[in-house]
Amino acid sequence: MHRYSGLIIRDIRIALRSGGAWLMGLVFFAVFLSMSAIALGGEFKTLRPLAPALIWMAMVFSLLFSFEHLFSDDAADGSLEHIKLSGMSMNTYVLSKVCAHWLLSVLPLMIALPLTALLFDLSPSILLGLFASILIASPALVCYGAFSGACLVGFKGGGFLLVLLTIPLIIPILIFAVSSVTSFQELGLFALEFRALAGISLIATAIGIPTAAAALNTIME
Amino acid sequence: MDFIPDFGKYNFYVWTCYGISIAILLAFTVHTLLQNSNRPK
Amino acid sequence: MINFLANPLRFKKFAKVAAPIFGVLALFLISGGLYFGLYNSPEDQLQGHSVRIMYVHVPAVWTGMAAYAGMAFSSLLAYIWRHPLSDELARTLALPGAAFTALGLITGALWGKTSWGTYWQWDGRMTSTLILLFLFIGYMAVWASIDDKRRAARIAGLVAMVGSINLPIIKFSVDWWNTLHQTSSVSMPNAPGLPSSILLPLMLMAFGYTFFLGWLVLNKMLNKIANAKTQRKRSAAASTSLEAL
Repeated sequence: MHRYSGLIIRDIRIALRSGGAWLMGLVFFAVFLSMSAIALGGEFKTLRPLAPALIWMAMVFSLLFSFEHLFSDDAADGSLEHIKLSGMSMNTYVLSKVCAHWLLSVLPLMIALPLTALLFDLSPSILLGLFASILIASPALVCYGAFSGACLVGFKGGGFLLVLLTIPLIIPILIFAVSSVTSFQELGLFALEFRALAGISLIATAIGIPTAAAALNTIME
Repeated sequence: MDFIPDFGKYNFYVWTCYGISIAILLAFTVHTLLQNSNRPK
Repeated sequence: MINFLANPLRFKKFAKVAAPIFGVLALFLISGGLYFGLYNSPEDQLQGHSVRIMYVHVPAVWTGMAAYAGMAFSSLLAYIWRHPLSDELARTLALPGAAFTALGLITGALWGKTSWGTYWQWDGRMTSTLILLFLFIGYMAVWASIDDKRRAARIAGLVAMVGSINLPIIKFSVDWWNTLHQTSSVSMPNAPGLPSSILLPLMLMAFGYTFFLGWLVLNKMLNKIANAKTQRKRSAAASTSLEAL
């Protein structure tokens, strides 16, 4: 447990020291949303119904591009092998990486979410629905991303392939998450979509972490 | 029985579907047979 | 059975017998299916002659799905018992599987044009077939872009297995999403209720496609085994000639 939290703190320290590279996802998120608003004509009447889908798309893509370096830095500088030699289980390592990544990439997006409500003139209840859907679905996103990231360690130009590998796994999340925002208005957290998202998050954690660990083990065989 | 029956307003669609399907099956067949003939003993 | 076939020599013996049988069966079944599908089956009351598209569309999608299932299953075998042959089997299944899935999508689009009036609808079946095609492409991309062959096999196997666990979730979510939108769907009658005049060409084609896939894969495997053997011989010969120097 101690080593587990130690790894998380180490990751966050490294990220904070890296001169703001971890904030690029947030910048991408903002740019993507402004671009979409401009491309769609900038009328609130047309933007408002599309906003949940657009925000989710921006979320998914800004996260997808961040997974490329989730494990590759550790693999390149040898700390991955060090961790393996120290007798720590790969599953624990992946889990701590995933938690640190959630804190570094999903949490900033959630903090920035109220600002997007201003961009699209969203009502507070829609904003709450978005919060709930991101909170419940983000473990699945991060775990599947970790799996693809682990598969593609040491790849040149793995970014596109990472998107290609992860998108099919993420489609169910996208479907339920976007429609959960509207059902949140009537049913709150009891809407079917939230149960589906919670289920997907559980399955994704159960599959994603061991498979990511297995993929990382193949590097050191 | 016509050799190439006419399927009325669906003629184009039906024949395109069968044409593409048979073409893909044949392409795989020819490729495999070519590989088989080059197979080292 | 699985452990029996894991030995390349025994696999070779089995494949040498089975491949021609599969090939002949595929030839007969597909030509029978084509005969009944094109010449000797009635029009459908609702869909007219366009029902004939079903005889090439549905078997293509089925075979594509069967190929993915086979790919995931043999990846699992490779992962647990590390049979190198099952890795090769999974890899060999990918391209035909993707081709059949793409074929299913193309014929589905043409069928859709006759019944929906548009080539594409975000209908549950078509959407999940499209995602299946993406899964195939991702799997092949992994094989194509990792140089170290053993690592590529392990990673591609993981990708296939994770994809197969997700396929039911994808199917469920897409169907649920589809009923939200209430799009008109091709009325694909359920198999048991079909009249035998439609069922006969459909089944002939479905089994024909399956045996064709079997024939294709067994032949490719035989070729791979033979090539690997000559390569080994060649490198052995090279090393002995080096020693002679």
